[in-house]
Amino acid sequence: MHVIDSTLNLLSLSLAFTLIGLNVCISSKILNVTDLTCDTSVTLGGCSYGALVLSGMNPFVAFFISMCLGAGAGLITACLASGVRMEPVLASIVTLTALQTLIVKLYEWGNGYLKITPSALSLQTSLDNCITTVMIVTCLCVLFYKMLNSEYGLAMRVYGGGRIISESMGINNNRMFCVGLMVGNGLAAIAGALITQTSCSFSTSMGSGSIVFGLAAVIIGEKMLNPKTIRGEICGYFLGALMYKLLLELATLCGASFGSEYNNVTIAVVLTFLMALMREKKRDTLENV
Amino acid sequence: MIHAEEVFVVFYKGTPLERIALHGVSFSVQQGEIISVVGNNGCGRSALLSFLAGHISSSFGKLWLDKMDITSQTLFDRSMIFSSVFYDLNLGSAGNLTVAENLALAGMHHQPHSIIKPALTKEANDMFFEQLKNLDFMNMELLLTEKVNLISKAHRHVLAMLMAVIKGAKVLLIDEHSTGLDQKTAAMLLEATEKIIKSSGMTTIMAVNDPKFSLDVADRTFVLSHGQIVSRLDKEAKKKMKPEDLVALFNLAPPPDAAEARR
Repeated sequence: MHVIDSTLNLLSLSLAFTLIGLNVCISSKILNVTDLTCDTSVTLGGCSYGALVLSGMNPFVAFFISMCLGAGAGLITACLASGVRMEPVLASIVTLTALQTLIVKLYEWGNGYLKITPSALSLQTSLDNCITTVMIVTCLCVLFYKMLNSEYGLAMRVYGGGRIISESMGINNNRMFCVGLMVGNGLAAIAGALITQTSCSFSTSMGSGSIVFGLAAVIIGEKMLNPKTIRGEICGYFLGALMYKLLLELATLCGASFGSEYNNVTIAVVLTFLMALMREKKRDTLENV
Repeated sequence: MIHAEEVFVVFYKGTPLERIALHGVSFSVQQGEIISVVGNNGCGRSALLSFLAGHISSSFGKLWLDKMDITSQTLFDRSMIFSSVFYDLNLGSAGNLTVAENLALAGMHHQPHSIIKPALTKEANDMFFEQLKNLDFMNMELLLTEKVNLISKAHRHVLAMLMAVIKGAKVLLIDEHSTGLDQKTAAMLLEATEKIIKSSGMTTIMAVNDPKFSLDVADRTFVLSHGQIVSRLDKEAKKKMKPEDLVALFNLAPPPDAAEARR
């Protein structure tokens, strides 16, 4: 039973990290900006979800609220970047620092280590949790796909292609930047909430390093599937997240036998090995134009 | 329709690098007119066109569209009026999208972008295919699904012009788009340019390196030297001119000191 449970949890977590992959996709591939707000959005989403559910709120309402909080974090970064004219990286670091206070407050409110009673979530087993996660993530991925294929998504991609051309195509650059970051960080916050739900616990540092995770998911997914369409890319993110998660599990296993200080080097070695296996035979110089 | 009044453009104003690119340029352009701007390198042609498009702003002077003062309008505001086809390819079309997506983008210029409506439909694709086929430019209709970064320069310039037509821009600005192409392709590009301008009836201000094209296609020609318009040739004056005469005309333009003294 234990094996099935942990497999299902692994699947749920990979699905959650797929959403972080979508965040990275929006910020670094579509809008072409570096946004580190993702880390704090995940923590914020997870902590607010946990605290709200503990206080007896309906989980779906809590989901919605944590999503809004994540979108708010994105909005703050966007306002700092376009209003104060900071570099987006710096703006996201400022947001990250400021929101840490809110996260600690939420954590205190939720009384630290959380044991969400399954009845509060109306999810009795990890299978239930997995099914809910699959449904939520699938819905979001479909919406994301629809959005990218819509006129608005096209405008978003033009923004990433260059600020001057997007402006001369009648696109409001500031607004596009805001919306992009809000969508991305909303998704990241939902990922945080899903992680809290799956692991039944939350902490003030649960999201740190998630941007690395998202990037890893995007890169591994792209290398594995070499997708040509947006649909393929989204599938790639899931596969990438799953692979990376498996890798982490493997590293933990190695850590159990050799000692936990070997974790990091195992991850690095296996990741390098994977990349070496999947490297391109021919160099396409125009690939990243 | 477009009326510029004593426009000065100064780069790096107030620094040792200060350079006056436009030195009090005034002109009017009527609806549907084709204007060519000629001159040596560094005479201010590109500055003039970039100023009109809104890429750079003027230090003094006014710009009017009919009765509206558009001097302080930014690139975003002016994008309804002007469309630019410049030697910098990235100012005319988005490189990370396909040809069809670029054309679709131009079509949705005037309305807010819908989040539900798909950007590209089958019908729109077929329409673009027909349009490109009618234009008959180097099999461009076969490139609809190609990323714009990967198509040739000439194709990109034609794409930018078509986007201007689809967008319904009032004025088309062309700056040196045939530069850097081989002779045959450049000739084809100029031919396509003439076809597009004439069939759409768009007001056009162009700076083209080919003096013959400047004389033949344009209704009027401005000769620019050292940031000033030194002579304006109308239809009659141009009829008597050969391309060599035009080149001689701007080569003989007065040096900067004389231009300074005249002010």
